[in-house]
Amino acid sequence: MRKTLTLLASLAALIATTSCDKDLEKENDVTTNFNTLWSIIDQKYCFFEFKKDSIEDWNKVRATYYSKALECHTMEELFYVMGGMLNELKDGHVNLTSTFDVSRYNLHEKYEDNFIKNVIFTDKYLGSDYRRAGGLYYKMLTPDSIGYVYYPSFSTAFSESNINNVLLHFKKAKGVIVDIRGNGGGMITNAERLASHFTPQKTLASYFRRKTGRAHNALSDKQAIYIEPADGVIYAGPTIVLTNRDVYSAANLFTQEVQPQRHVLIVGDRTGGGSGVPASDELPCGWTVRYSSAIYLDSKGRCTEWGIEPDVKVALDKEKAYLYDTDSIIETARSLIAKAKKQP
Amino acid sequence: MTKKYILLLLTLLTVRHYTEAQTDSTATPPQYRLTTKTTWASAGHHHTYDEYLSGLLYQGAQIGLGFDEQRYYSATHRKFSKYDGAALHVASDLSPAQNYRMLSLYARGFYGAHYHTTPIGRLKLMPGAYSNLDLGLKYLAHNSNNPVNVIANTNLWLSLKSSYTFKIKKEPIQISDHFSIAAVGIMFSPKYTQLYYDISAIDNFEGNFVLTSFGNRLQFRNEFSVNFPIGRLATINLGMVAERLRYDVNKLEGRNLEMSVKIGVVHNIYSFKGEERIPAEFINVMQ
Repeated sequence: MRKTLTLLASLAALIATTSCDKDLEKENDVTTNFNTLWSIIDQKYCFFEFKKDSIEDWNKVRATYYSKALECHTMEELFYVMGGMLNELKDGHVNLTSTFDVSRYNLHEKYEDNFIKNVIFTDKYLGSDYRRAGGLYYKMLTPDSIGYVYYPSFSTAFSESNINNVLLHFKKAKGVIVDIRGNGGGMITNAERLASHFTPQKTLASYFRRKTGRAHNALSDKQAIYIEPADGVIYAGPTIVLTNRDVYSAANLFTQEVQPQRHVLIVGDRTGGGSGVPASDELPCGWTVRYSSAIYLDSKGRCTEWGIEPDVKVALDKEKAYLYDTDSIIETARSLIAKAKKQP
Repeated sequence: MTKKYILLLLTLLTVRHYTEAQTDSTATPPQYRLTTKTTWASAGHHHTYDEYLSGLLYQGAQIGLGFDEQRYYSATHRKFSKYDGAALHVASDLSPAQNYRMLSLYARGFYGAHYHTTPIGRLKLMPGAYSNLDLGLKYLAHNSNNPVNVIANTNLWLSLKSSYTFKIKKEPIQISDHFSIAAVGIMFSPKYTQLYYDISAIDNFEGNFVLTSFGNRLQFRNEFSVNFPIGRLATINLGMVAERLRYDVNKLEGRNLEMSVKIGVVHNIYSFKGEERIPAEFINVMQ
């Protein structure tokens, strides 16, 4: 009996000594919160190797902002100091979220929008008699019979039937314009689904790299990502994708995935970029942090974090837009499609 | 109100074990063969650290429901028994700032065997081994692209049961302890910062099933319990369970602790050959 009790006591002691996990309990103070945030980025952020020229040494960033953090008297002050540190990464996928604000780096705020949403809903374009399939707004433009699709967000889903119906509606069109201006991204799967309907044959669309360890240069080898043709309707006629600086993340990915297609032209302004894939973590104070943990490179292995240059760069003529409800970028796309038809 | 719930729980557990007792009584091997079934519920402390989901330790509570069974392989040589069962665990843990909740849900099935020996008096030792299959997930809603981590592992456990039986006022009481430790296994784990989208669409599970042993995964479980009869209606099993998991797989660390109070209903089922009724001396006898 005594031996049994001794055995049980030993087991209980073994469990007690290994079950505390006190080392994982973090203080909710300025230093711990700051260091936790800095370490998350230091160990998990994927772009350090690609942004050597634009990001100051991350240890120096820490020193600069830590001294500022120590001077904070309120959590609100601390939030903006830490948000400022994250903005040093110049990455729209990196945010600090609290109950009162979301820190963000606005890469394209100093650029022209090249897009006025009200104009595309005038009678010249979508008007009020447009169709809508899932998140896709579409209409056959007259008199030149050009299909126009406006997709404002890759967060809004559409089904295979939706896109099949859209493209069937355009079966007699001379060409299709896919307008993703202002599209800030969303689901990667939506981007790949849409791209697959403009892909007549299996195409190398991008490369993928992911953080494999805590070191800044710990990145996986490039993995080729191919887009397979969709099972449904595939449009292989003249296609123009309209972009501007607000095209970001999944919308940027869509742009780089269709760019290798010979029947696709990118028209408008440079995209906003955002080729990282974000993941999340959190701080002891309850704020969450989002950071880029993996990278999509384009089909030539180039990083598109800072955007994709269009094949035809066109700026929006604001005067025409405001006075005549004319979107000069759409008009350029229409004329390009008209010219494309004349080619053999 | 609480008493009502406890009464309801006990009633449900009792109903289940009587239902199974009737189906099992048809077996008629030579002499007798003992099957001990325990249907149980548990509740207690739970905390978890899953670096894939969060760098913080989440703490909360868990409840479990399950059954286990010990059955002699042979009626003539009662030296070996099989051990199997299943359980369902649900845990809810809060972040240190108490503003986010992580939910865990997993089911466990296990199967194994023990060797029975009686080295000293009424002390019984039962070394053995069993294997488990755990399937479930952890969910942290606020994460953008990494809100879920899958729980999927199978292990070979080394196990030691011990029990000691004595009587208080002619009623048999059994205290027992069951310690087990996972020796080797296979565990599913994402790689460092790998999203589930990458796993399914790009990497195709390459490197996600990892061979584990003491070097990268330590998991052990201890259950201390007391069995005591309530009249001739049922035997109650009251115990404390602690299960600990610690791993460092694919450069991701994780820890888990469950410490629960467990209450169950035990039913000893005897199968006899040539006997139409259960001999009186077997009723409520602890093996």
